[in-house]
Amino acid sequence: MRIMNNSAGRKGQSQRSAMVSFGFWLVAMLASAALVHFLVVLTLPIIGRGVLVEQVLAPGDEGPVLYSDPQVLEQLGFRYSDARQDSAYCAFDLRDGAVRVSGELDVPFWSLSVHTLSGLVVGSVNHRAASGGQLALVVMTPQLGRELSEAGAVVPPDTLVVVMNQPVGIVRISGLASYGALRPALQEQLAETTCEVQRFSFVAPQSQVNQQLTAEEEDPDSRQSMPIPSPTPRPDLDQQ
Amino acid sequence: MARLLWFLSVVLAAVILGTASAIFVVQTLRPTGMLKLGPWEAVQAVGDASANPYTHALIASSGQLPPGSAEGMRFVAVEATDGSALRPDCSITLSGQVSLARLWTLSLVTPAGRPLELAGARGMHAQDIVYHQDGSFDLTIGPRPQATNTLLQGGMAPLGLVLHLYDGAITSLPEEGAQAMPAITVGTEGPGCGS
Repeated sequence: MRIMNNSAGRKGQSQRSAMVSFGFWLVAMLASAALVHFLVVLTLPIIGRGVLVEQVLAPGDEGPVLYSDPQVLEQLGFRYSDARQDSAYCAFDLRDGAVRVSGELDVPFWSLSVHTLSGLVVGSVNHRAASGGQLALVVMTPQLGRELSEAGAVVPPDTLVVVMNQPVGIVRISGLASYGALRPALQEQLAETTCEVQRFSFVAPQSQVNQQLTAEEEDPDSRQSMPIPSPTPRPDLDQQ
Repeated sequence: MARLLWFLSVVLAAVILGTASAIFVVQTLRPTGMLKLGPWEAVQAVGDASANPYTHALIASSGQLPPGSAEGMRFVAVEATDGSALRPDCSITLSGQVSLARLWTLSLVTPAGRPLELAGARGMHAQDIVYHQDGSFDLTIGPRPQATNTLLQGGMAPLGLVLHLYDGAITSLPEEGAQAMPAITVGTEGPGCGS
């Protein structure tokens, strides 16, 4: 009787042990699965678009690249689900400097939009904001923006400035053709879109000018004692 | 050895379950901020830096750059107003009006939202449409030309519809609700349809 009780007890203990072991396995597996789940969700934007842009921005490319040939766009996977819309894409790397994209399309609706590699929209503007029929955007990183501002960079007039944190991205220039027959003409106009590294002109910072004027007014001889101003930094070019 | 097997089985099951659930969620669940007007769905504020990780993953996996707020809004429909599938072998009718915008286009896409590989016309522009006096219209998508507006479609691939509104983004539901967008009905006309 005692032997049978011992045997049943051992069996029960073994079952409990197996259940506890399975419980641990389940908890560990679910916790790890949750981790993998979030890892996949978080890395999808990097993997999904990153592969594409590695193809678009080939290593060694200097400056931004404009893609407007519909066949090339199709090969690269830039497709848009509007049968009347055509687009050109400017792939850029802000580590080369600020990028200027400008266009002028003769269609009822057209727009420029700036995207990160994963597709998020950083900013967009349509033809209603055009000046003299032309839309121009300058894209830069916040750091470059600060450096340029401190250096007294002059942003060309009628140019919109878009600041984005990620250094690599895409600008899409889209036009909407009223009729299918007008699409070839629209594609020709898109091919004339410009996409280049922005060169800035610089003025001396106002504080420096005021300082010089005050010094001249107070003491004409102080010109000699004034320190020679250091060359104006060109952060947009230094980084190249 | 038993511990190693235990560890490997945990890792293997976690990788399979975690990856499958992530892909399932991204492909099937709708992200927050979805605007639904009848059968038409659009993602609000898509592309904002504040987009949640699932929306972010959805955009990246779609392979398309979403429209910015200055570029309007893209509504997608993969089923009719009554919930039936948009069968490519049946005629599909859109009736009503697009009261949210004057400038819009309608395109045929795959249910995943990718452009349909079809020769010839794949879309309509608001200017192509003949309207009724009250501003409403009827548009038939199918293999044969109709007396009303027709978008010819002879393929047998599953269909989706994209209605792109170009007059600006919508941030809240319109007063007229689903009436602001055309209703979609699947007809019985077409080869093999109704069977």
